Order: sequence, then structure tokens, then C-alpha cells
Amino acid sequence: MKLFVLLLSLVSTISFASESMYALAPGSELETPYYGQVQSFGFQGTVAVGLSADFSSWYSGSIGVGYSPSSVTGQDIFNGFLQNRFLFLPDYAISENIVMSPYLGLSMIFGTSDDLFYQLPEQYSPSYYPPTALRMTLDFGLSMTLGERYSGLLQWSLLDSEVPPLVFHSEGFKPINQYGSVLLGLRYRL
Amino acid sequence: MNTLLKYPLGYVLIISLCSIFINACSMESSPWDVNVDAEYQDLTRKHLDALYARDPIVNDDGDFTFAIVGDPQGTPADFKAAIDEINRHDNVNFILILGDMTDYGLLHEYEWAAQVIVESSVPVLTVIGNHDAISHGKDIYTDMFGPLDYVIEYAGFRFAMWNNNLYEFGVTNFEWLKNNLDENTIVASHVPPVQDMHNAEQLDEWLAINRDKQILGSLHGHRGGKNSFYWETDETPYYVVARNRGERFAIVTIDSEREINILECTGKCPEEVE
Repeated sequence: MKLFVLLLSLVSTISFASESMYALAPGSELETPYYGQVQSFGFQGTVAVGLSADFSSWYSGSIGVGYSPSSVTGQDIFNGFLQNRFLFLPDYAISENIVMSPYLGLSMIFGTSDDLFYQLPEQYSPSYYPPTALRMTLDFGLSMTLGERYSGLLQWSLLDSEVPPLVFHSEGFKPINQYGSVLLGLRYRL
Repeated sequence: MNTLLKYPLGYVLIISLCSIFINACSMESSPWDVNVDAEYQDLTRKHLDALYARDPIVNDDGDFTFAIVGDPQGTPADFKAAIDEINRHDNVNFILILGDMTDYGLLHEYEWAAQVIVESSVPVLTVIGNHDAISHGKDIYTDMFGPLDYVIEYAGFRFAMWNNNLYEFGVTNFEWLKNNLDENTIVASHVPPVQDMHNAEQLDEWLAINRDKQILGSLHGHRGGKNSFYWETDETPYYVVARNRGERFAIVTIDSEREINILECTGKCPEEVE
């Protein structure tokens, strides 16, 4: 399932990117806005950097690398991430320079650690466990354009393992650890 | 594009929204965090201390009772309901969780289980399951609960809490088992002695130890779904408890003849066990 979503994410990113580029008039400059991105938390690293692009008015994506120190994760973990943001809701301008755009998103997180695996170790029968190094989040966020160059991301990410207890098995149980994690990000237009 | 609010009220609104958003949610760096809050550390020792501070509950017929719960992963509400229900029974000495408190060995899953465990008035003692040991789960389990193999001596019985997750640890410590069993022992481990992780030779070794030591019984999780499994080998009772989903658990009574009786419960338990 996760591999399917990963493939879907990659294909959608590439297709939107391609569509965006093909839409340009011959000889004109590439109009897709690209951004450098820094962010924290949201299960994607204590600190993370990436490259982001608004491929259309309703689809934006980012790819990057996060880092979490051993004080947090037991051993230093580098993780890749792939974010997909779908901006289906209307934008709202708060002032001339600030525009808020709510979005729904789906992200993939790829971890590196001795204790995590993509390929099931040989002692297991097929599909005994899903890959432990691969996780998904469901994202609810707000993109804020701050002037011409900057935009901020404020996002609540719900980890895949949190969804079944929250949706199907939550009655009578209020967890001490609140569901999800907040991501704070800043994008700079290149 | 709509102009929702004019500056500066817009700034106030957005800062307020951000503050509420951030304060209402946690900020996790990674799915694979391992830092266990102090309140949830060393739970095995804390609950053993609580158990040993109490006098054993034995009824007039000499019955000794405890509860078992298996595989509560992914269903924290059902786990809580089962533990709450067991707490309503005043004859239960303690609760054994027979592994797999988590699906993916992740900290937040462990915390859901720990939250239920620390709220229980009846002491709760655990063994590690195979799912608990993946990702960084071994480190979290050790921090949160303590040793992977340990013994409970209580009311004249011995409970051997044994980690036998062969795939995740690479070895099953039969030597520990051999050194910690006697004729008053009940073994509690996640994986039952059936063809699963262990090969025929290992199963033979395991069953021979149980037979030689003449244990009272052997309790397990891992293979229970909606149904439980009971069988006897060499006159020793073996029991795999049903998975907790649906608020399932079981009440185990050792009678004065040292026979084991098991009452399976879903949500509520019948009155007669009280």
C-alpha cells in the first residue's frame, strides 16, 4: 500500500511538473515558482531542508532531507521526505502582502537507521511487516505568502499509525500524547 | 481571491490561530523518537513494587486469580476498556499483558499503552511482543518497562516473564527459561510453542524444558485473533489468549488443586468470576 502511494506521489509530482513546463510558450522562461525550503518537526526531522515548487494553482510539492539527533531518536537519523500539497480551498488575502492558502497534503518519510528496513530481512516470510523505514503522514496546513519572496508553512501532520486509533478505535480514550505533530516551514522563492 | 480582513486585525488573527494550533499539538521530530517521559519509565519495577506491597488475594476456596490481555496493538480504547473492566473485579491480583502493545514499535503507540497501564489500580506486568521490538521499539520497551526477562514470585507461585521473539532478537534464551522454572511456575511469553518463529528442534527443546520442570501452565499471545486456543501437551496446559480488539481478555484462576481455569471475557465478564 505504502509503495503504491509512494509511486502515486512520484508520478503525480512528475506529471504536474511536466504539465507546468509544457504550458509555457516557446522561448519563454520557466514560470513554475521554485523555492528553497527550511522546516522543523512534523515527523520530518528536527531540522530539514528541501526544494519546493508550485506546479499549478492547486498543487505544490517539496522534496528534501531532514535530520533528527540521537538525543531525540536514539541514534542520528537522516530522513528523506516528499510532500504533496493540494490547495482545493480558496485563498484569502489578509493584507496586500499576506495571502493564506489552506491545503490538504500527503507526505512520505524515508528513514535511515540500523533498526529500520525497507526490504524485509530474510528471516521473515513475505509481508510479515510493512517497511519500518517508510511512513506516511496526512497533512492539514496553511501556506502563507509573505510578500514576493517568502512563504510560510504551518501544518498539522497525522502519522499513518495514528489514523486507525483516531478514526476507528478512539471512543473512551483520550491520549496524553496529542495526535499528530506540527510542522513549521519557510520557503524562499528562487 | 478574497480580502478577508484588513491589516492589522489580520495579523492578530493569524498569530492567534498559529498560537492555538501550536499549543494544541505536539511537535515530534521524527516517527522514530525514543524519549520516554519520566512518568512512563521503569513501569515493571513500579508495578512489581505495588504488587509486593499488597497481600495476595485468595478466596475461601483457595482460588488465586489474575487477568491476561493479548495483543492490544492499534486499539488503545479497547485496551483501556479491558483494563478498566478488570479493575472492577476485586479478586484479580494482577494483569499480564502478553506482548504486542504496539503495531510498529513507535513511541506514541507505547505511550498509549503506558497511559492505560499507569492508570490501573491493579498492577500490570508485561512481556515484549514481536511488533514491540521493531523500529526502535526494543530501546523504548527497555526504558518504559525494564528487563525483557524477569520473574514474579507471588502467593507461592512463580511467573516467568520471558522474551521469546526469535526473529527480532536473533535468539531464544532457553537457558534462561531452564534456570527459572519450577513446579510452581506459569510461563508468560508472547510467542506460543507452535510452528511459527521456532523450528521443530527448538520447539522440542522448549517443550522438554516445560515437561522436565513440570510447570503449571504456559500463557501466550501472538496467534490469538477473535478466538483463543487451549491445548495440553505432556499434561501441561497451554493457552493463547484472543486478541484484545473488541475488549477481549481472560481471567485465569488457579484453584486449590493447582488446576488452571480460564474464563474468556469480551467487554464484561460474567458475574460468577467475581
